[in-house]
Amino acid sequence: MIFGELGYYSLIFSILFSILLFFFIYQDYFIKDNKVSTKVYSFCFLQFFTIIISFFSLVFSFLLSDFSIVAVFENSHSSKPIFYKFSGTWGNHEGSLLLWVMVLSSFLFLFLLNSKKNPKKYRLLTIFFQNILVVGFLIFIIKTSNPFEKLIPIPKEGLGLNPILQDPALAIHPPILYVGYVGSSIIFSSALASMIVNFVSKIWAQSIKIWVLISWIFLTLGIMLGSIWAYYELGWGGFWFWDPVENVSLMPWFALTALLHSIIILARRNVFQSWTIILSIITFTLSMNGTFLVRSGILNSIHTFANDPERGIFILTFLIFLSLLSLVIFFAYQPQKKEDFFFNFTSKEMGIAINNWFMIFFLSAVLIGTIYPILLEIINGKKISVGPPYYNFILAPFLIPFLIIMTISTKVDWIRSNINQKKKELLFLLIFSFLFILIINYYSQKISIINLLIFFSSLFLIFGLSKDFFDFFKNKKKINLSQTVSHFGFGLLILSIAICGIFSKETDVNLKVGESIKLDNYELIFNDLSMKEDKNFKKIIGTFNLVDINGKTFHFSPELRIYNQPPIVTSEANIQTNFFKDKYIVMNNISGSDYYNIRFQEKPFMVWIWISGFLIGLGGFLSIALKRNSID
Amino acid sequence: MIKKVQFGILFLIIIGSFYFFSQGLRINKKFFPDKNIGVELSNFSAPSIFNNEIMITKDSLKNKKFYIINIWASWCSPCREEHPYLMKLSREKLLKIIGINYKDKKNYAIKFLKKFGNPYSEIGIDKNGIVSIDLGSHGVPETILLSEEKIIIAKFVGPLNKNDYIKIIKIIKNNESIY
Repeated sequence: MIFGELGYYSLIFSILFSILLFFFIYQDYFIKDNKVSTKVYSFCFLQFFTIIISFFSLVFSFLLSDFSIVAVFENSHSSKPIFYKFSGTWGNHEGSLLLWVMVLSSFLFLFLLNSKKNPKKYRLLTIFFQNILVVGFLIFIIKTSNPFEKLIPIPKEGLGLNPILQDPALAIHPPILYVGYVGSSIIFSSALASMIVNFVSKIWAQSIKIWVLISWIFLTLGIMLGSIWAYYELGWGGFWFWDPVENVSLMPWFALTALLHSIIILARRNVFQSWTIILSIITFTLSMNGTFLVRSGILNSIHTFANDPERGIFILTFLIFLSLLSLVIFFAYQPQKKEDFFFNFTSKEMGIAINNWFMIFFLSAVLIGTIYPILLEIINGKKISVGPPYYNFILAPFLIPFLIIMTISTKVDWIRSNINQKKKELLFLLIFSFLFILIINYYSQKISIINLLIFFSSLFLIFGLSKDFFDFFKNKKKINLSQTVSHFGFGLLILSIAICGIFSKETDVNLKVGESIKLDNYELIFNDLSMKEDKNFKKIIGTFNLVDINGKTFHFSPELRIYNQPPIVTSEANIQTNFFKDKYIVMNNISGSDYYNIRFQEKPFMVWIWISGFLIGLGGFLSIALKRNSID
Repeated sequence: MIKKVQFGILFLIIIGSFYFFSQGLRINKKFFPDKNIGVELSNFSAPSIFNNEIMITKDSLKNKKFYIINIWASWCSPCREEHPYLMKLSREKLLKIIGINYKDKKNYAIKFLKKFGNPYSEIGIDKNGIVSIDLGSHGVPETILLSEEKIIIAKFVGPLNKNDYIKIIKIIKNNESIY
């Protein structure tokens, strides 16, 4: 019970330390040596330490089910499995903000420890800007969402964590996504700092690249996990819904991916300075924007925790303050061109530059789709929803040149054109992919031309990189493994999404026990229903047999779970996965009848979407593990 | 010069988005345009706090033009916040307020009402939170405004504030002028 007080007061202390940190940074800034003073070090540490204590106090309050704390009472229950008590810490608004601030502060501290080679003023200023973020969020927490708020009288039992949040993928999804989001904060801070001290250069890019990579990996995996959760838990059979809250995590990803590529160029030559800075600012602003849109309740979505306008106003004001600050700094200290540099039309730089613009296009399309409904509601009170058709229509055609340019850029060299040497290879790939398309088109004629071209361009990328892998393993040729893995993953991702989207089949029927139905290639038999008690829920298990044309039988047992605290019914889909397709059965009860609503879906290549997502992230990880400083 | 123009445009965009978003926040999000709006209230039953033998059900909503179902608990501090508005609303002649006491102890609940006043004409006990689930509620406090035909007009998640209060009064007064 002491943890509540401990957490609260160490949070207060951390504000105090952070404010003192401003003072010491100011003092140290004018001392002319190349060492950051120990005071700055110790106060960074104190800030970090007190926030850690505060966070773990909340964790322990959750583990010990201390219901005198509102956040614990509202989001936990003593009968909850320990793992979900733990993850309940960030399964609510207050706790997740504390996690956010903890990551902010730890990045500040890690930056200080890992930037010893860089100029002092740049380091101090980076910490200064990062500290603004920390203080802003600390005040936000204390003022509007104190995680340690007390409840009197102390209730005996908690209200329980929302059952659909009780899932392993979702339990680790927020922390991972947050590292990605917040990781971009240090990039933002250092971008502002490097402009002021005129440090936007190769060296800056080389030193900040690791942070870009780390947040990119985490953001990629975080989005991935969220998507996996949606697929297995929400019971709709989809993995991406273009829900506004999903979009706000995708937008920073677009910006961060563009940044990752432009910073690779900047790390090699002194070009693209302004562009890199702009991307750094945009990435973080979008991450903040994500927090604003989700936390303020301006969006209505399954992710919205609490609708509190006061919180919204605070984050919005803070966001606008940061945007104006970076705008002023950008125009006052705009990075100057250091060297004039020309590269050929068929060079890696050109490819990256063009695809950067495509990224910005994707970003804007998603941004408009997300923001426009909100604006419209404000202007004329109309509610519209922008759904998958908009995104498919606007994004899909542009993926084609995007993938083709991506393939060519992985093949050509830096600066100089060597396209002639590669002509044969590319031509061969082109023909090979084209043949493949002809085969696909022969077997199923209903595919639209856009989809065929998407198949074509993603196969082009996949085949191109497969050849690189082949060279690597067979001929021991030196390749950039991380780049190849990530881009291969991306090609595979688009291909699997396209295949899954086009060839999925869905049947929706109402059945009762003992009945069966004939489908195209299967017969579905509803065999049995049984009840089972689990630790904190009851479950109704349906037993189904699915018999295919060859007489092979598959057993399915989807569940309905009835949780007791809070009392909510969720349906657990039963999914059977193999490398070619997922078979997916989910059942729902129809109240007041013996019938159950059964949805049967076949989703070809589903598992490859996850595999390719992890490949994309793995590429980033390899890049750190192999300690490559450049991409070629 | 071009730089200044660029700066100006971006500046205006940022300020503009601030304006728009803060407007967006001002649209009262607690006033849920929920799926349930316009739907008839489903039946519920809860034992009365004052007499265990009497059940509060949908049929308890009678003889008035409007009904409010308010889910509350003595341990819930936002309920205290909204309580004065409920007291004010209880003076409306066309309105009947029914309370659902959520996961609470009887004597605490009665103490609460003695201290802050009782705006409810009837109170049902929802000991384990099931009644509130039947009412489609997300938690405490929550307020459902119903028409004479027991159709849900509005739903307020979280404590009622001044704007919500004014909204409810407006709906009631508009109706008065019609009759």
